[in-house]
Amino acid sequence: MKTIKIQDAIKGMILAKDVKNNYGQVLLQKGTELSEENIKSLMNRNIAKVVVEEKNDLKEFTREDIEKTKEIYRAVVEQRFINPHSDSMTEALFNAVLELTAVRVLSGGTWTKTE
Amino acid sequence: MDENRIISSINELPVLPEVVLHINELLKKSASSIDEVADLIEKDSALSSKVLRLANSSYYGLSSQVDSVSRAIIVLGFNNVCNVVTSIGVSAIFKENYKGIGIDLSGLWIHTLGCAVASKVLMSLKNDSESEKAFICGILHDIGKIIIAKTLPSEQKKVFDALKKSNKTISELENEIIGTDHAKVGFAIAKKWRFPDYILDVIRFHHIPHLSKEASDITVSVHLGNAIAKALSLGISTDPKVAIIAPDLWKQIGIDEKKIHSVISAIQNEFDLAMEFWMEI
Repeated sequence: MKTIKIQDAIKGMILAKDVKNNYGQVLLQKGTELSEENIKSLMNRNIAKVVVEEKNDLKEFTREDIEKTKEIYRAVVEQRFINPHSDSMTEALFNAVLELTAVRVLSGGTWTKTE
Repeated sequence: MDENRIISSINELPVLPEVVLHINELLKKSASSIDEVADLIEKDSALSSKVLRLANSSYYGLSSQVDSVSRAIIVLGFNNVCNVVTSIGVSAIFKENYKGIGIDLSGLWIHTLGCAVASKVLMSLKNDSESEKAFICGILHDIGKIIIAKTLPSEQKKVFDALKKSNKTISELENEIIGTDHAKVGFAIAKKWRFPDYILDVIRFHHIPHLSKEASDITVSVHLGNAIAKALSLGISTDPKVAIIAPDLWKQIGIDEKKIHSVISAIQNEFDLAMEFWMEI
């Protein structure tokens, strides 16, 4: 999921979280597909951001590109953990960070190497 | 030296602006009005302009212009604005120059922000109405490191040197070398600042949530948020490695192996937005 400004919302996006007003009332439920009408209505209600499901972020590069990039950064990410393979959740966290790092590098994103 | 002696030995304790302490007092009362809080913030013109800049920044991305503090309280919410004010006060402590300091304060501030954002996103999965509380706890979790840096810089340097060569945790080494640790020192100063109990609990137990009597969802969120900020290399913590995490803690917040990827992406997204504002403040 990702948080976007309402101005950047487009029809067809799927809400990944309930949209609530300042009083905590749910205006649109998680899972709703945004239409032009409900985007306008959210703007009128001064809703600033919505959380939407991410479309397949990986479509611009192949799985192979990602796997290759992961191998380049594997050691860097591993060093951030005392033991990245200590248990299944830590392993999952490690894999998720490695995957995100590779995708951000390939997207020319803002990921910077600080180690 | 124990944490209370450290606190009492500092002639010039890092100070939080009076307004921050006042606002936290107001927060403890249930009947504070928007005007009461807005008046307090507006007395400090530098602070009110920062609050307005944040309200109008892309972090909140509001569609309408926020042109007064009371309007900011209405659209962002009471607790949110109070937390913003506290965070602005704390960020100033990270930007002060201390003589002989051995830590990279700007790197630690980015780590702090990363932990705050991660804790907020995690808490929002469990109980959205408490997520801003988790943010402010993340902002304050390492405050003890700054106090130690200011009072015992050479001992702290020994801790960091030992950390590179040892498998012990930062708290273990601090207790051996200094006689107390950054969590206890942070707890002592936050108590002096009269912060509410949930914040004290997080600062005291952010490395050892299982020892907290409450082990509240907020304390657990910050423990996990701290680990995620390190895993994503958001900023530079002085103890940069992700420690072993008890699997039960992930369960407490409702995160499993399948969910972790989307949670990490959401945290990175939110962090990128937060950086745009907080690095300028």
